[in-house]
Amino acid sequence: MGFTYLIQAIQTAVQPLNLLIMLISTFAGLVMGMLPGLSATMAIALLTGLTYNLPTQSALISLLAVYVGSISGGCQSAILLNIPGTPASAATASDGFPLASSGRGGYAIFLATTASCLGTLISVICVLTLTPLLTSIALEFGAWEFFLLSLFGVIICGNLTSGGNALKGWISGILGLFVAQIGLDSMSSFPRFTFGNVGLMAGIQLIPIMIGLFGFPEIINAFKVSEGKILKMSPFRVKEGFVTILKNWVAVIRSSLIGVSVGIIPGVGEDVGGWLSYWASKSTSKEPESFGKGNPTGIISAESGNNACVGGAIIPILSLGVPGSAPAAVLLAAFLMHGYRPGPLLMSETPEFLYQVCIYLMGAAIAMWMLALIVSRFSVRILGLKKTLLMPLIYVLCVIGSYVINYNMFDVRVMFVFGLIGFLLAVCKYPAAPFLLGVILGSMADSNLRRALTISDGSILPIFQRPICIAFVIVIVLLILSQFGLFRRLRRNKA
Amino acid sequence: MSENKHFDFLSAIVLIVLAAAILIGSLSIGREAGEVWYLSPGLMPGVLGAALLLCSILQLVSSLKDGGAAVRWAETHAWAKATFFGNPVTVRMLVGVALMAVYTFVLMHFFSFWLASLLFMIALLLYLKAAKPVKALLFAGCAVGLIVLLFQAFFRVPLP
Repeated sequence: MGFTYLIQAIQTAVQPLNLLIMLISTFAGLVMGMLPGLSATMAIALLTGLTYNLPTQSALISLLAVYVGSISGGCQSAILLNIPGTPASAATASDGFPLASSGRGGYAIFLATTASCLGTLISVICVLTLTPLLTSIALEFGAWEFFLLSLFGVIICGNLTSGGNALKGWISGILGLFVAQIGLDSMSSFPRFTFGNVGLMAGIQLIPIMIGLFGFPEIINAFKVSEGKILKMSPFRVKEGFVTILKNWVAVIRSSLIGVSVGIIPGVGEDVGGWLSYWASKSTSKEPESFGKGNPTGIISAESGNNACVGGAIIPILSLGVPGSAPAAVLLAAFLMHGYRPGPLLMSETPEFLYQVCIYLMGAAIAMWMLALIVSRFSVRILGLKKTLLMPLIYVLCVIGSYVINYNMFDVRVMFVFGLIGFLLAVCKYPAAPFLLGVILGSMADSNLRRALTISDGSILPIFQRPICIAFVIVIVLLILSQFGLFRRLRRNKA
Repeated sequence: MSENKHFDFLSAIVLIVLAAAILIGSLSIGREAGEVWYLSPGLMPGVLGAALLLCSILQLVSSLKDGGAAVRWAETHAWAKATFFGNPVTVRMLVGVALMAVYTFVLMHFFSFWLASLLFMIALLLYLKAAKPVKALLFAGCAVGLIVLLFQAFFRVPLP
């Protein structure tokens, strides 16, 4: 049956309109990812609103293509400007920029783009094999498990995205969970924190929050950031690039698997995948001192690692309904908007969806590889565009993206308000990813907590009687304690 | 010492006030709904309010290390003075945000989408000195025209 779905997905993908949409979206993603300040999350958030009226399959192709394109596009500015276009490409700059500075920018971009393509393709294999496995585990989940899963998602995302102060990540996640409680309660339709405002009764829409949180701060930051210095592109021999990739096949596979594993963890993004893969290659290298000075393995590892996160982040969406990264969170919202219900029942309700996602991801990866190499010839010009010229246009697109969800100006105002909140969070160094994850998981946490308590007549004992719940509780407690130096103290006492 | 301790300090105070408001709000929801506690629509907001209060207090305590409240106030005062008085970057950002607010809340309310967007783009481009007047007019006109054409003609989306 799976083979039939694969063939059908290929047939859909190669329809002329869908092919065109894939190419345009990948190109748009590449450009968005390439321009520092325009992140992958913002690109998908914008496109979610803009694809609202497209046929479902075309919208799906467009969203996945822009995701793959934007994560990969960031490497070009990282290599040429030493400014990662997206946080995912931060590790790429470590070796990419020194290589470009020595006059080998074209070679560095070829390595990065090819590694990105391979990383995505390897992650697709993992999506195909791991999703059914994780789904079968998720089918054992009851109300308590789903409540604890949402708690786990917010806590681990807070731990890993807060840059050393997990409290900030948790606070951000709690704020997101709270925002999801605003509106009519899903069980008794009781208005919560609506202050009599009719617009708030239906709850705050996810898309305007996302656009505000991720787009708005970048627009404001563009008002102050000065433009960087761009290097010139240099010609290179494609054969040499392929030989380098072949020599580094172990690094490609290792980094891709690391990327997929990092992607599966809720809320942890492509930037962590890129850095971890880079670190793994550096620590296993015979010449670790050459990293950071233009080592091609560094570029290949970082790029295959961050792009493999794309597939990894989609696995928990499809099996648990929980996003693996911030861009994936936006993608989940887009899936929901287009009528899909990602989660444990997806494989029984719409089994073809998994195969469609995999084929479209593969198509997007190949389109990205071809387009990125063509675009790299014009990168210097694109990167030379003034951000102050683009940002007014980006804001107009943010307004449209928020408006088209419900054709409602209230959502546009919500986007503006959450934009200011996002900016303040960024200024105070509170990560936005746990906030977004909280908004997505808030309703699931609330309804499942009350459902579970209703079944147990208000007792929390079932948490300690169900194996999956016990595992979640142990992991959550360890995650919290790890942030208060428990393990460090234990190690010190042992020594 | 972290260079952002005054931000941690300020944000912790704001969050403690917010957490208290959430707790009071959830108690009032619980009272009005009249359900048993575990069915109450105020349960989850209450739990979140309590968790936020706890985290914010921990954040406040952590921000007070290395100097205490007096030092944090002094840092906040110095930061506010350096940021809000005569800093051209702050002025640029504030005017930019103000123009975006005017576009969102005023222009979009009174004018059609294309006119509001055209006025907004020209104003922001000129303020940011991103382009000369004629170039700004051309860029904004082409961009808005393309958006209207793409959305209304191609996607068939009714614009505001």
